[in-house]
Amino acid sequence: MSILRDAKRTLMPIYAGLKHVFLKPYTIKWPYENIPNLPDEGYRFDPKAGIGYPGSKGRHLLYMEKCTGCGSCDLTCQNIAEAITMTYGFDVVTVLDEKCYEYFKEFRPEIVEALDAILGSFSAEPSCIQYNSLSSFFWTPTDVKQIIKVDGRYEIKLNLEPIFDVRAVEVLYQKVYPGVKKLKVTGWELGKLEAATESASVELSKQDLTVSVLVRKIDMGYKQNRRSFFPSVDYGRCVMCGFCVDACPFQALEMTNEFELSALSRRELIYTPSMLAKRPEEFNITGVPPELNVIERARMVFRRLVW
Amino acid sequence: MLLQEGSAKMAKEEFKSLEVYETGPTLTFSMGPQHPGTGHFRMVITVVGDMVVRCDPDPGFVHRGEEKMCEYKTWITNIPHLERPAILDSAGMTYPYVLAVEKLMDIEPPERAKYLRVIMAELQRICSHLYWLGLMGVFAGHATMYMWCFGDREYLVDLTQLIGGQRITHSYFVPGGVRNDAPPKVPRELVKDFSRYYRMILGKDYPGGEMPEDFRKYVLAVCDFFDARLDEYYPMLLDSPIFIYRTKGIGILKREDAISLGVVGPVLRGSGVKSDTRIDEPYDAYPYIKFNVPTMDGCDSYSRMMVGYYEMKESVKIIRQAVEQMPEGPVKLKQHPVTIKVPAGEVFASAEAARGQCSFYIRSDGTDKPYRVKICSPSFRNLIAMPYLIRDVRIADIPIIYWSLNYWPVECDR
Ligand code: SF4
Ligand code: SF4
Repeated sequence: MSILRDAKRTLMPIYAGLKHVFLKPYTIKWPYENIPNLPDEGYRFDPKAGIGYPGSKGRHLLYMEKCTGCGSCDLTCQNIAEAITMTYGFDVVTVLDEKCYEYFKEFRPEIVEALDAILGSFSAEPSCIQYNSLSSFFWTPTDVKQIIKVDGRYEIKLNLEPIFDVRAVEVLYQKVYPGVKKLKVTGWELGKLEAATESASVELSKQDLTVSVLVRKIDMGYKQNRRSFFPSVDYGRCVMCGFCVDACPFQALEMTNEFELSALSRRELIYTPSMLAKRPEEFNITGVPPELNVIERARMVFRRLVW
Repeated sequence: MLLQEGSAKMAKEEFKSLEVYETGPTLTFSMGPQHPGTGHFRMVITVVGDMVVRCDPDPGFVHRGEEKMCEYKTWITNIPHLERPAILDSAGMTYPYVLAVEKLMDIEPPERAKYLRVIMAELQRICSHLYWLGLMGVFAGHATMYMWCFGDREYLVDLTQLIGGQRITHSYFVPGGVRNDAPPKVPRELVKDFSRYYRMILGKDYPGGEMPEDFRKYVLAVCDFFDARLDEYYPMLLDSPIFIYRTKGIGILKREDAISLGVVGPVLRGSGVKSDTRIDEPYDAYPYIKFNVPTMDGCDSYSRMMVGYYEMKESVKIIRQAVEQMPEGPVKLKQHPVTIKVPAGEVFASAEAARGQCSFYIRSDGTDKPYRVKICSPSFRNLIAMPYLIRDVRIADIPIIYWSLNYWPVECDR
């Protein structure tokens, strides 16, 4: 009897499993296939009613036209993951005087070497992430042709999009200083470094030439946020709890259903306010899903037909 | 080797304090500290031939200082890190904390919030038990069970994602209610995808009617689906001779021992003691819901697994009732979202997490941060049974006994 019972018990799993051989498998072949269970809505919070709305807790979405730079989100996250840092937007400008500009037009080697060093260090990726600094990873190529004359001096703006950081001097130290220091070898002299939270500058001189590099805060033109003070989120730290969304009294912060946040370096995980302000459909960090080759495509079709 | 006098003396004294067994040639080795299914954990095992004579569990590899961390964070911002010890069962871990803070503040959450909490807690209990059952399949050499459990777990995880926004660690419970209501609708794609499996398993169409995306209908359909799947699990794993011969009579924890050692949860119920916080000290919506507490008298690994299996069936019942009884209304008291005032005092609260009773002792001095938080997690209480069970068994039985306790090192070390 016991043998018979064991035989039945042994055969039953095979029978139970056999049914599933002829059914289509559960597996979703992400990223080749869409994920059906992703809610379209992101998590939002209504400060008036004091209640959240259900939705995905993915990457944040910042409404720059609503954010007042109050820092409530930062304060909340300091207690959770320290992912949010409040940042200003900065421009990096090289200022040439009259004589330098003449030299620049003639492509004299003295001035070219100085500009070369400044630009080179500006576009190089910093070697490490320093504490409390958030220089954005994405830089835009400098438009050297765009030269503006201000007060008899000529300004070359090095960045097309604002650089977000906590203090101006951090930008100067990380983005400009490494290159400028190398210029000492060729006879350039470094002037005094002037550093404040909102602007920083360093002056370079060689004989009668003077070039200065200036980091200055920009006004992004939002009426409610005159200081242009916005949160940046470090996704290497964020745990996607959504309490910063709850803390925002102006409904400026939301979450989206974008969860594909992987990156190749830690710096790429720091999202600046201008990146957070883009909707997921405008800004796809992971890019298009990899293309399938013919064999893989055929195998998937085959799977569909058979099962 | 030259021994110095002092150290030789010390070695002598140390040797005296050791217990000495007459066992013949023994071998002591350490199992771990790798990742035996759940987290980093080490067992120092002494064997004679194939028989284990002594087992020394060595926890603490994943200690995170949760209790100390609680003293530096505010009442609400404590929640995200408190669910990290048991990510599969984050609701069970934060439930007692939230209950304790509510007791201190002397507030009562709205009715709807109570039901939503129950639904979330039971969904995560099932997710956690499925992980338990699936990995038990792996330990017993039954890989199909692992695939099945993880395949079915997806639909329950999806449900928690619809409510809480994430697959795991939702930070959903807060003192004074829950953070958001359940969504009125589920994504159309998900219903389409799910209805195919529904037809596959139950042999009938998804009961959509006019509004197939209705949340309530979807939850009930998932309950039906999962119930049918549980019936298939029984012949697949729990009634198969492979599993029975490996677990029956292995790791016997007698009823009296279970009580005197103070184990909790499915381990205690597997030894025939009917004890469950949901019944003994009902909280939130549990008093309004009818369900059984399954117990087994086998006292062995098999009984413990069966208790887990029947608990999933009971959880499905609870979810069904909660969804049907859930009233309309607000889900959260009106309060500041991240800064709450908690009066001074001390409080103790417990709730039934997936692995057993989880308790919090909280002391507040009236500031925005707790003065002291003491966590008594279920794994910590079940760990004490391990050296008693892993004794006079074969080496091959160690994984079975270890995992039948549903031991989660991270939760134990906190
Ligand atoms: S969601 Fe991320 S950024 Fe916001 S509070 Fe949580 S950890 Fe901080
Ligand atoms: S996102 Fe909200 S909380 Fe954060 S700084 Fe802007 S307005 Fe303040």
